[in-house]
Parts: sequence; C-alpha cells; structure tokens
Amino acid sequence: MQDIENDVRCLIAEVLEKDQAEIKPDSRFIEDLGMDSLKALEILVAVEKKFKITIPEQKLSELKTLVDTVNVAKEFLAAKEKANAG
Amino acid sequence: MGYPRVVITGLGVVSPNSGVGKEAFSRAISAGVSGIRKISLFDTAPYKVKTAGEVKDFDPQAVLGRGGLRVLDRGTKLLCCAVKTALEDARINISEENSRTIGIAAGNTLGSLQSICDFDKVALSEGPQYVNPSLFPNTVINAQVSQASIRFKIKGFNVTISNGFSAGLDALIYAANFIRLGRKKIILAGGVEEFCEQTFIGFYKAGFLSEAKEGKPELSCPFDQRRNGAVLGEGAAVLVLEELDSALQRGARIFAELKGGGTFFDGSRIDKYKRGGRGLAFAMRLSLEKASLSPQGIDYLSCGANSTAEGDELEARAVREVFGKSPRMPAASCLKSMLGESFSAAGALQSAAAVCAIEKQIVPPTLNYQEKDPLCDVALVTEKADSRRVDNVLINAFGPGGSNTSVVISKFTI
Amino acid sequence: MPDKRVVITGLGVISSIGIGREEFWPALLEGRSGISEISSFDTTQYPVHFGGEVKNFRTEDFLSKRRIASCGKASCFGICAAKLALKDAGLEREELEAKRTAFCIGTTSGESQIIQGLNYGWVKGGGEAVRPGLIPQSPTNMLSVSAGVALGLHGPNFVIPNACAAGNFAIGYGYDLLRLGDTDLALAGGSDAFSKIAYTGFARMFAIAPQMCQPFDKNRKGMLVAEGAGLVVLERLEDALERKAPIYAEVLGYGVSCDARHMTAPFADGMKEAIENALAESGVSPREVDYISAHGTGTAVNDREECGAIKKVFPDNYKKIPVSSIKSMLGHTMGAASGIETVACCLAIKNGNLPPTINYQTPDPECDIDCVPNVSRRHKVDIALNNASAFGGNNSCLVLKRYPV
Repeated sequence: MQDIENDVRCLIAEVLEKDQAEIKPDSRFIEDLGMDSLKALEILVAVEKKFKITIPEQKLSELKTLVDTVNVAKEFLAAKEKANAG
Repeated sequence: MGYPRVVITGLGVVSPNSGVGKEAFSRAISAGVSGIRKISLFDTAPYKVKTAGEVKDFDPQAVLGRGGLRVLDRGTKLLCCAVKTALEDARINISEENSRTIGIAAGNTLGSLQSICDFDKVALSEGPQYVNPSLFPNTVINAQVSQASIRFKIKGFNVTISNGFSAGLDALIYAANFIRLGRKKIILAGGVEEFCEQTFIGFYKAGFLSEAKEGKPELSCPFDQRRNGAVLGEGAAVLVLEELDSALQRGARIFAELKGGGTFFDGSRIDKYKRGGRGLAFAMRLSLEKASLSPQGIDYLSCGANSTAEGDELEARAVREVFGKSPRMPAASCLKSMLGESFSAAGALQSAAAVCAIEKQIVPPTLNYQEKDPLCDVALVTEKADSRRVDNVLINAFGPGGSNTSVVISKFTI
Repeated sequence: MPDKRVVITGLGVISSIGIGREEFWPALLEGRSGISEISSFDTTQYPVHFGGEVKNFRTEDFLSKRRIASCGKASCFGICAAKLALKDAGLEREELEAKRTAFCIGTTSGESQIIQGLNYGWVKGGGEAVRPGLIPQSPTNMLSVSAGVALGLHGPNFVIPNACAAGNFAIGYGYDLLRLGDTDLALAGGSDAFSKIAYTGFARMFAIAPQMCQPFDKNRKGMLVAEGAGLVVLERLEDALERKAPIYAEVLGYGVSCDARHMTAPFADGMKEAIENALAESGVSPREVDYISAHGTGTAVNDREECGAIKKVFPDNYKKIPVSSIKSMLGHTMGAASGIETVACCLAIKNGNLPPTINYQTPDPECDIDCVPNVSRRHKVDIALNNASAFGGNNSCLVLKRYPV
C-alpha cells in the first residue's frame, strides 16, 4: 500500500512541477500546490492510467490532497480486484 | 489619411543560424552564417533528405526559466523566447495598467501538427481514456500564440494567422491594421513554426524538398540553376509594432517603421505555384502604394524564394514586372539560403532581418549562389553582405496555392 | 479615421438543422435539435455518444467531384457556405472577377479529418504509410486557399484559427479590411468539420453532455461537439445601396480581449472586457441592446461566467435583454459557431424573431438572464450582440444593427 502512495506522489509531483518532498500527505493541491482545473484532470487521468482503473467524474472534486487521491485510487483498485475475482 | 503611423520598437528572434536573440541574429545574417545542417530531432534513416534549419541546442529554460514549460510544445517555446526577448528589447514591462492595450498576432499554420498527432496517437494506441487533458489545448491551432499571451499576460487580444507561406507577413499587416484603427497601442507581431517529423514527411512526400540526386545537391540555393526544392527550417520572430505616439510618449527606441503591406490571392491550384501568376507583382505594387514609394525607392528586396524551381522563377518574373530590368532592380537577397523554408515564420524572420539591415546599413548575402539561371535574373547580393544605404526594404512572402504578400519596412524619420 | 459603413448582404449556412438560411431559420424558430448519435467514427470506447453532425448535406449539389476530391471537409463546408452567401447576396461569379474579394475564415480544428487520416497511417505503419494524396489538403491555410481557388477570388485571403471565437474574429477582420479600403467585398465566417480529436479531448475533460445541450439550465451537463459553417457577405453600404442588394444588418464594430490566465477556463472579466470594447467601438450604450446571441456552450463554467459578464455590463437591464444560445439546438460547431450565430443574429434583426434556448427546464440562480426558454419569440431587434469565447482566453463580441432603422 505504501507503493501506491509513492506512485501517486510521483505522478502529482510531475503534474504540479514540485519536488516529491513538497507533496505532503495533506498539502492542499489548489491552495498549497497551485493546481488548476486542467491539472486536476491530468492527475485523475494519470492515476487511471497508472493503475488501469476508471474514476468517475463525481470523484474529481474529491481529489484535494495526496491522501484523498490515494484513497480514491485504492477504492477503485479494490473494486477492480473484486470484479476480477468475481 | 490620418491613420496613426506604425513603428517598430523591439525585436525578438529565435533562428537556426543564431539561436535566441536579436544581436546574434543580426551578426549571423550579416556574416552569412548558415543554419542548415544534419537533422537531429528525428532519425532520417528512412528518408533521402538529411538536412534542415533546426534551432540547434535550443534551451528554452535558459531564456524562460524552469516553471510552466512542461506541457508546452516546441513551437510555443520558440515563440515565447521570441516574445520575451522582444519585450526586453522594447523595454516594455507588461503590467495590470498597460496589459489591455497590448496584443499579439502571429502567423502559425502547422505548429499544432505534432501536438495533434501525439494526442491522437495516444487515443489510437492506448484508448481515448488515456489522453492527457493538459495536452488537449495544444491541439487547437491557436495554441502557440495563446500560450504566449497567457505566459506574458497580454490581455489586449491574441490572434493566430494561418495563411501558410505568407502568414508571417500577413500577421504584421493584421497587427498594423489594429493599430491604425486605434484598437491597440502595441502589438507583438510575427510568426512561428516548429520543425518536426510530421511536417517534414508532409513536404517530403509532396516532393517539395531538395534532395541529393544525380548532378543535384541537397541545398537551399535560391535563384541558382541547380536548385531542386526547399530545405525546411523553423524559428520565430516577433516585431514590437507600436503606434508612433505611444512610442514617442514612452521614449522608446524606434528601430524602423512599418510603412505598408499588400496582399493579393491569385491561386488556381491548391498545391501549385501559378505559372505566370501576377498576384505577387500586385502585392508588391500595393505595398509600394501604401508606403508612398516608387519601385526606385527600394534599396533592399528581401525575396521569398525558397529554392524551388517554380517558386523562384515566379518571384523573379514578378520582380522584373515591378522593377524593370537589371540596372533598375534593387539589391536582392534570400534569407532562406541561410535559414531554410520556415513557412509561417519566414516572413517574420525576413522582417526582423530587414530591421537589422536598416540598422547596420547592409544587405545580407544569399548563400550557395553559383550558377546563374537566365529565368531568375535578379540583382542578387551573394557571398558577403553588401554595405550600402538601406532606407527602404520590400519583403516578399508567397506560396503555392496563391497567397502573395509584400510589406515595406523603412528607416524611421520623424 | 475611416468612415466607411459596412453591411451584411448575404448569408450562407451549413448546419445539422438546415442548409441555407431558408431551411435554417424556420428550424431554429421551431426549436429543432440537430443532435444525433455520432456516425463518423466509432464511439464505443467513449462514455458519451452524441454530437451535432451535419447529416443531410450533399456536397455534390454544390461542388464538382474533382473539387470535392481535392479538399477536406472543413474547406468544402466553407466553400459551400460561401456559395450560399453569394447567391443570397445576388452576386454572380463574374461580378467577383472585377472585384477584390477578401476571404476570411475562422476555424478551431482546420482540416482535422484529413490530419486524422494521415496520422492513422503514421501511427499504424510509420512514415511510409502516410498517404501522399491527402498531404496538400492538410494545412490549415487550405480553408481559405481552396475557397479562393474554387470561387476565383482575388484579394486578402485569411484563415484566423482563433478556436471557438474564430468566426467573430474573421468577420471582424473582413469588416476592418472594408473600412480600410483594402478590399471591395468580403466573405467571412467560420467552418469546422466534426473532429474526433476535439471530441476525445472534451470527453476526457468531462465536458460533453450525455445527450442534450442545456445552456443556462441549473442541471446543464456540458457541451456537444458539432460541425458546420456560417459565412456572410460583407460590403460597403454605398456599394450595397448602388446595386440594390438586400441588407440584413450593419456591422457597427467588434471587441476582442484575452483573459491571459488559462488555456481552457473562461472568465467573466475577459468576456466583459470584449463586450465593453465592442460597445465602445460601435458607439452603442448598454441600454440600446435588444438581443444577445450567447456563446452559451452548456458547460457549468462557461454559462456561469458568461452570465456574470452580462450582469457586469448590463447591471440595470440584464433581465430585460433576451439572451439565447442556439448551441442548445446545434451543439457547439467550434470555429463555425460565431459565424452561424452571426447568421442567426442577422435573421433575428431582419425578421423580428428570436431563436429559443431549448432543453431549458430548471432555472439557475447564477444564470438569471432571460434565455428565451424553449419557444421562439416575436421581438424587435435594432441592436444585436454576438458573443464568442474560446480556448486560449479569447473573447469576442460583434455588434450588428438594423438597416435602415
């Protein structure tokens, strides 16, 4: 699970042009890290691509911090595994 | 007429023979430095053509700083470097107070091509879900100019002119008209085109490019008997066009005046130079008329000839029609012998060169000229720059399809 | 300064709800939707499947087979709309021979279908698989070059690809060229062919509505990608009067601005600036405006920001000015949109009717304008504004006036 957080941090750092160390678990993307609407979408797509999941539009507004993003990734990864198992 | 005069108060250039900056460009064109060399941006093994005018070792970070370059394409970075150096040259600080009086208009026709193809490639190979939303805006044709307006906070307007070979000059005319109509005080005007494999393939497959074959060199040699096609180039040039009063009020250095321009379409096939076409002669006459000059007033004719058999012949004929035979012809020169054919950027680079030529009082040389073609009898300056009085420069840009534009740039006198 | 007055004397439109003004206008007033399931490519992999494709248009009715084979779809749309506009203006090809005729066309995606075709070969088979025949048709300047060739035009020949505000920029420049005496006549407007790339991008931005475009509705779900062309004939008033041409409207001026903030997000302040510039150039006061053709894409952000701009420019009377979005019927025809909307404004002025904003169900307090909900309305229009905004922070507004008043 630690790997997921690292992967997500890495993606976010790239999109927001920050050092990974600057992406604290609860740094706010918009207020602290300068995210805009397009970069928010880019993060969503990058996470989808990395984990081969699909995140619905309603979740976009929930991606506010690293923790949020990791949680969303985990949620849909779990759903995918469940679907695959089923 | 009562229209305000339009002067040139700054210059920004990114060119294959000099990199970023006006001074380096001015020196390079005076010395006749070629920017054409082996292509490095992609592997040319599958192709017979091997050379182009690339801006080599282009380092946008050195000019623009680190931030915000991640999703910008090459053309946008070329243009941004030209805009930044033009603003510095003109000593303009864009602020909340003046931002709305400043606009940008630049020629760009193929600039989004690589971005479009890359974006589409992801959709085709990985699926539409995985395209990068941040790269989507680069697929619109106005992306490069719009990105520049955002980066430099230019709030007056941003306009892209996609007129192909004449786009750079057409953008200057568009911008000058905005100033003449009183809409804006200052407009950054010029052109940009990036070199990429997609553009290369297009011109290559269309048979437009010079390639080495029996008895023919792969060479940009305008008006030369040996010419057999264009060599592609890239670059960006931005001229700061300013209403005369605005320039005087802020004590700006005035490098030259944009006296007038004329454009005249006369196409009959979308992809062929028109044999015997008179559109370019009309365009030249229109711009002379706007500048209130007779043909004899022109000291330097900056030709658009790009080393294609038909294009160069067409221009030579048009020049004869306007200027008469040899002794009455102005000193002519072809920048594309140094830089290659950079499409929408070409006219802007020629205009930047015209400003430099007026400043230095020289006509830059045409490189690679060896064998006279009786069909291309123009008074070409070859080998080295000709030091001479240069008050008025007539610049031509034209292409297959039928677009023809000319612009007159003159020494400024109050 | 120039004192030449410029009028619109011919209208040409290619749209999903009608070809030519005679079909287009009744369809608009009826509130007919041109939205259908996309058929030009397979949308299986996309979450959305609807758009505004032009399905009842036979290019062969307008152009020779040879011409069609030599041009992309955006060029064909533009040429055909230009032909319709010339016919509407009562101008024959022979008359153009003796005139300088400018062609100014706006577009968002240029010949996107041609580029997609070339790129498909490139991606699947590398450089060698690229089909050479398509190459000359692919550059964006072909939109004006092919029209110039097909119609035998001589004069300024411009493509202004200012994305979804491009039509207004092109019409504005045609107007400028006439005022400056640089042309005798101008054909100006916008054209776009349905672009899979635009569709892919907007879909990925969650900007596309599932089935219905609902501008200004509280529950609006996005825009719908569409295609088409709208061009007008512009000429100097004195010339139009001399040849007794029908006059739809006078162009009083236009305004442009740039947000200089973001490539995709629209902002009320920039839109306000464009409208104010347009009013100032035209010498029109906010009280005189009778109708606004909205940019009105149906996305949450655009409609909110546009209404915000309208409220700022017309603080006292914004609820009294009808503001409708014909994108509710056509979808977003991209660079063609403001060209087609200019045609609609001319017809509104001429006929005294306003096209509705269809699919309007739930009022949105943030968009408390009068959007002419669902049914057309009789309304005298002396002054109409045509708003258009675009990627790259572009904003524009064209001002049209009844002639004679």
